Amino acid sequence: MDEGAGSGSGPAYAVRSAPTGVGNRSSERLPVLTFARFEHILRCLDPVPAEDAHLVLGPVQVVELAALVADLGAAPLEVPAGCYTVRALYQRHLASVVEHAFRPPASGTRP
Amino acid sequence: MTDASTLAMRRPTASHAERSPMRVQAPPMEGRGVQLRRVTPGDYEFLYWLATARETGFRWRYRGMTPSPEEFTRTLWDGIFAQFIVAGGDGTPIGLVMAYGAHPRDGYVYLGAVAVPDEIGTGRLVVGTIVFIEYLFAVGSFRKIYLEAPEFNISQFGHGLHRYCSEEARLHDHEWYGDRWWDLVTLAIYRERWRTDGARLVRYALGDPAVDPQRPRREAGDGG
Repeated sequence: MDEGAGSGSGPAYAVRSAPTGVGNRSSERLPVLTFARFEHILRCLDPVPAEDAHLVLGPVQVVELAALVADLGAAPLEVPAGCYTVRALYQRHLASVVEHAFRPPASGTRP
Repeated sequence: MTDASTLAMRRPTASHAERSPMRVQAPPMEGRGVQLRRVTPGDYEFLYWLATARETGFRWRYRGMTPSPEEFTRTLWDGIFAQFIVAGGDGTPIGLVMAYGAHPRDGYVYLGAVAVPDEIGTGRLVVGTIVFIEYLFAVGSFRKIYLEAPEFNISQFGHGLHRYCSEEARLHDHEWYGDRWWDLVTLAIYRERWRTDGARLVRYALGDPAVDPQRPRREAGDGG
């Protein structure tokens, strides 16, 4: 069980972009979803979660959510199946942006 | 007959060009963080463990019974159309996907998938299964792919399955587990519906370069 704290959407989460990595081209940026946008894409899941209600994600929904986020070109979101609040999932998304930003570039990949 | 009308009919069109043998891609066997690799005799011990492990044995083929290793190996390929180890990027096995009971004449095949206990819930076997579905639709002229499982296995996948599958059959109180009878459910993934409803999942699972620019797409004839 992974729960988040607090309620409501706030401007504190409305970061729009983040650097992709230390030592990477500084012009490259990965979009960060606003909380409102993130809530919106969660509405594509079923059952539709109420704000800050608990959302049970099975393995298929884990991949669906990751695909929805990826389709927006945003930083990746990888969470295991489990029970989450919308806010907890959003915080995982933000954490994944940070993780992605500091991950060293894989060798052998295109620049 | 080589009059103008027949020559016009032979003129290559865009669709002809798209279907040129030079542009045919190998079936997908890699996805985001996973790969499908062939099963070899070196995997048999792992597969026997997977078929009899506490978390997976009662859900999988033998439903808690333990065949001898020899019997298990002898029947491992019975009725199989294709099966692959799903492995992580480092080659560590995380599960097995298999297609069995294929009826090429009628255009259907059954699909099974099982994850090692530590991978249940990570979504990586789902990604591997999506790659496998793409593989099956590429190499076989299947209209639909069946998933047949007791209800308690279906529920493991969460609420998302019905967006991609239709329930086609339900045998009530068909299998015993725990302290009750369970329905045996047959779901079907239709090729056409998969192409539309499953498009986003496929794009994600195959790591479309538009989504993951660090993963170059390879085509057959690329040396891969």
